[in-house]
Amino acid sequence: MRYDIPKPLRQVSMVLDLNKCLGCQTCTIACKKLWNTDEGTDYSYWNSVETLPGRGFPAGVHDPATGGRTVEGGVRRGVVPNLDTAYGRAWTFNHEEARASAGAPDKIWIRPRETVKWGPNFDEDQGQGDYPKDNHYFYLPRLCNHCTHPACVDACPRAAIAKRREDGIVLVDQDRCHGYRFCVEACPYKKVYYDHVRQVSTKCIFCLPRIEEGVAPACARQCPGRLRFVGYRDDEQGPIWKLVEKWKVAIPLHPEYGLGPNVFYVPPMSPPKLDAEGRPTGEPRIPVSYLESLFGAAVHPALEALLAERARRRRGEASELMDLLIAYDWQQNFRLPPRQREVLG
Amino acid sequence: MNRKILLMSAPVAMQPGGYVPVAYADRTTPVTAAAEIAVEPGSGGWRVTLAWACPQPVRETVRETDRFADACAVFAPEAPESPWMTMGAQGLAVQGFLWRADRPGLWAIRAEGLGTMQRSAATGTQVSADWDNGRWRVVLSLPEWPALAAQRRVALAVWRGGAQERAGLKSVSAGWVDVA
Amino acid sequence: MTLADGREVRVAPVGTLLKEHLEPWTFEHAAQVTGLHVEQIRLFAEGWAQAKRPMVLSSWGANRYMHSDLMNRTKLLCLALKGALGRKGAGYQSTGWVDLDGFSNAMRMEKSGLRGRLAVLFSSITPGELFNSVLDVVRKRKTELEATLEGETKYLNHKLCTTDVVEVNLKSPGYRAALEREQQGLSPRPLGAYYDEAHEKGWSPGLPRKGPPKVFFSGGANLLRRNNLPQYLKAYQLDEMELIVDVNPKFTFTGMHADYILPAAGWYEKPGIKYNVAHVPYLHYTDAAVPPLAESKDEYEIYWLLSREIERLAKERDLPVFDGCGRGPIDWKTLHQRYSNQGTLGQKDAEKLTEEILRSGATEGMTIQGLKQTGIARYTSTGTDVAATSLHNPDWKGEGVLTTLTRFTEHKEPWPTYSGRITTFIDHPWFVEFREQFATHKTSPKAGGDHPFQFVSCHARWSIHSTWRDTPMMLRLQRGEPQVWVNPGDAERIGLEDYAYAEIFNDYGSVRMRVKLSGLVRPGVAYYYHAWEPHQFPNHESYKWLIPGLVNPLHMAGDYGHIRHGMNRYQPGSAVQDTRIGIRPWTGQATGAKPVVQV
Ligand code: SF4
Ligand code: SF4
Repeated sequence: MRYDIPKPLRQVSMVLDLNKCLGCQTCTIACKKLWNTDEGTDYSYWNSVETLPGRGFPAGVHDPATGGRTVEGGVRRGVVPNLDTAYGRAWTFNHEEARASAGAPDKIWIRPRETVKWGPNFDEDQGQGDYPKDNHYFYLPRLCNHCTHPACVDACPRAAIAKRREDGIVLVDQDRCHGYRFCVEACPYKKVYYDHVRQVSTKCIFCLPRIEEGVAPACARQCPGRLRFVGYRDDEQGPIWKLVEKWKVAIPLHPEYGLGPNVFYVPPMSPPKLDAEGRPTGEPRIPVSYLESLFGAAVHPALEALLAERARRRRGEASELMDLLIAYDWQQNFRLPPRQREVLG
Repeated sequence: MNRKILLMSAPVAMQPGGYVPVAYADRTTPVTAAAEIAVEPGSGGWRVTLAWACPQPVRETVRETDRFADACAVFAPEAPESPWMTMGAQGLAVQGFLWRADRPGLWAIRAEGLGTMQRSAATGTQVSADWDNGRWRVVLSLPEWPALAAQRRVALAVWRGGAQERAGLKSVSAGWVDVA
Repeated sequence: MTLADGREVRVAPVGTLLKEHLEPWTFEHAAQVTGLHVEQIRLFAEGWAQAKRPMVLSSWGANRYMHSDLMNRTKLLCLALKGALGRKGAGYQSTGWVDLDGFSNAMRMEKSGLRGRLAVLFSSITPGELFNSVLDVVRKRKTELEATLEGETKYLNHKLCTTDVVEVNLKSPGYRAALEREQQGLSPRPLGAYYDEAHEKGWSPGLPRKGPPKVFFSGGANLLRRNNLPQYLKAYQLDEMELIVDVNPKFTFTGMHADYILPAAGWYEKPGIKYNVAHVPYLHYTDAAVPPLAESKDEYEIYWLLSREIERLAKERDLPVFDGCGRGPIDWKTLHQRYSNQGTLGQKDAEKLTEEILRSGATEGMTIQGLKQTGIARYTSTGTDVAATSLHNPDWKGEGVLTTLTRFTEHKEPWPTYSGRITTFIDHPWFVEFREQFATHKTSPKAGGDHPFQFVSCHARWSIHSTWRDTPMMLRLQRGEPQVWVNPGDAERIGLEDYAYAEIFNDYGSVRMRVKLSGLVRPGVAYYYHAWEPHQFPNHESYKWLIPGLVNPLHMAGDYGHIRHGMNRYQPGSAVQDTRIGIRPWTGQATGAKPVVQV
């Protein structure tokens, strides 16, 4: 990092329990409808949900060759994803023509006007393995990690991206931005997007107007799986601290890039593989080595802790961790004291 | 006056931030080796002609995420000591004009150091640009330009969009070019 | 033993019969039938046996096979053997609703206030009948539940102008012939024979219309999209209509074939409440966040205006009172008076109506103002517990777990079955004829012909039925066009490329869909998420053109314990999941449904 990024006073943070995600994309739409319906950002998803194993969104995002960081945490040249082949163009449709042809002999059916090459959820539910032996997949909802050492901030020659002092939210100053897209290129999570109409970068703002009012981001509030926790990292009474620091079951995605993500995941447990005769084995369907490629070595103790606590709960013993993850009282998923609202110029 | 200027790759090492200097450390030879420039007095101002070789022009960037347009800029020092390489410095601004192939008009630019460039609509200017036979030829019709009138020198920069050039990734004149 | 008429019969306890019936169903036998490994079955069985509180969540999707009854009866049997029904945290969670009596009052009410509510009561039951049933209860000849169930059945079958989709389809000889052909050999007698017998005996009464309907008026639905074999519905019924009207928030396929579309306001453009199944015991409120777009209106308002206009015309033409659906006279000259509660409900008074609905036993203390603040509110009881879809827990007052059916467990009231007990045995003559006295396994019949893939569907995540099914924002999260999900191994074998078009075919013709590979799909199954609009397919023919929708004749049986008909209760559905199809790559060949067979 060449820029001096002052440590924020507090860091707002999110934990997502992947064991509960249904892949419903409610979060995606909640976010999109709120922030991202402009023509130049129609293809972009500040919040996206991927099926993994899979190519991710944008396609190739988990391939170390696309991000601007080496797996040792150094800088390397990344890739600006292509609209057709990596993001997927926001196809437009021909509803009017289709309706007009209802009585005609040649019927026109609703379909994309553009050539379809890829889309934000294109390999949904594809996964890997053979039915019924070891077929598997899980959903990975992703948003900007509001990193402690953000590659996007580091990449901008105009210093147009900054981390807010109050809560560590990483924001693009679109008045400063000249649309050079080094941030898009550098972020290994590909969570800065380019508004190709306004020609500036855009990214997740962690719903900051809501955060200032003490309301969790739309993706978290609307999640029917109740799998998202929102709060401040230093709040020892809050769910973030408990899951990240105390129980150590919530771990960052791709820690190898060294950006210090502030979004954490509870890794997915999975039912056993079957052997050739169809008998359940002791091995989980989602290979732990695959999870390690996403979450690093910390996935092992995290899974062990989860399995141990789940077993306790099954034996009828108390488990603070399981109670927290079950989210009996969903309002407790969010601990966000309202703040004096900053007036943004 | 129609002069051929040899260009150099703008040194990435001094680009602000930690990413560009490392990620583009390999950009040492200029993508565009040379450009021709002519600066002539025009009706009520100046007429600047820039021409350079560009095998594959990029004129359109609409509805794409990974395309960068060809571009060129010409700027003059506001003060005799304004440094060219860093696009000026605090209190020692440079100012001029920026053309980009995906836009109809010109931007007026002013900068006081790397990463500080301000763009604004350039009133009273006209631009015509042609790409023919592997070369761009861009003619800027400019109004009065006090900085040029006073300092009588310019620097220029050329970006080849096809080579992902933008911002500090550019081929530049190796210093101020005196205008007679 | 000897019966009164002197006949000798052998008597055996049902439990013994059940044991005998289950005897051949060893794990090995089950493994053979299901293709699962014995070990998996054993593991499941052990888990079940050890489970303290086994619960089965069995929703609408569980009813879409020809033999869904058998499957559901099996689940109930497993639960009953565990003593799990009506126990906290255990049992059968199906589609039981908290009953909002205010809702049905508001729907039937023609006068406001207490007078209106009394009128509702007397519109379904005469004072004499009411007196008799009160007497029955007081004399303990019937439980309160039995008496009310009877009243309700009467109302549903003899007052309300309602009928089920299968009944509508089978009314048309052409449609019935197609289904009879399809179901040949599936039951001891042809489908039509059961249909006729059920009507003769009044088991499955249908609508005793005096003449064929002339107007198809559709609201809150999309029948042409949804019906199985819509080509038959179209050819035999819709094409004969003099007028088709669609009241809808979206431009549906049904609307595309209507003479008039009355645009309804969308969600968040009108206030409304939604209520849902028992395991989520909350009432939901949606507010009008923005005004309705363009000329669209809240449905309440559309019907308000429409009824006013119909009443005006009826008066102008001095229309006589007539009996349209055979369930009593209807006076069009007072239609709007009745709709508007004698003028107490104005054009924009949807919320006043909602207030009326909130006068339910289950929504005590709820107000529209309150709901606007909270969005949801927990029910305060399970309601009047009359409808068969209700929950039968008289004690629950909004606190803690809502356990269903405690009326019969803790309160020891007789179960509303033939024997008054939980029963796995049904000796209705038709069930005997079908050898379905006990739950058993029957192979899924091959609907649509002998083709290699079973064509199975599910509710979609990208839409609520066909609402939003063709919304660009949602289509972008899929692949823009209808898809058939296949196992990658199957796809490779047939030479299907991901995202390429494939021809889906069976005896009814063929349609074109995009191939989607997914590891979740069992080999031999072709999966689709339902409710694509037909105009999202070439020729405007969806997969529905290939789905005959089998009808289980047993669903027309009646007059036996809990086997009794009523809306949302025991009535025939059309089973779609037994459909068989073949899949081949699409290389430009013509596709399309075969013409409707004329009769
Ligand atoms: S995830 Fe990417 S965009 Fe978000 S802060 Fe980190 S580097 Fe920046
Ligand atoms: S809304 Fe929640 S459950 Fe649905 S995809 Fe997003 S994170 Fe998963």
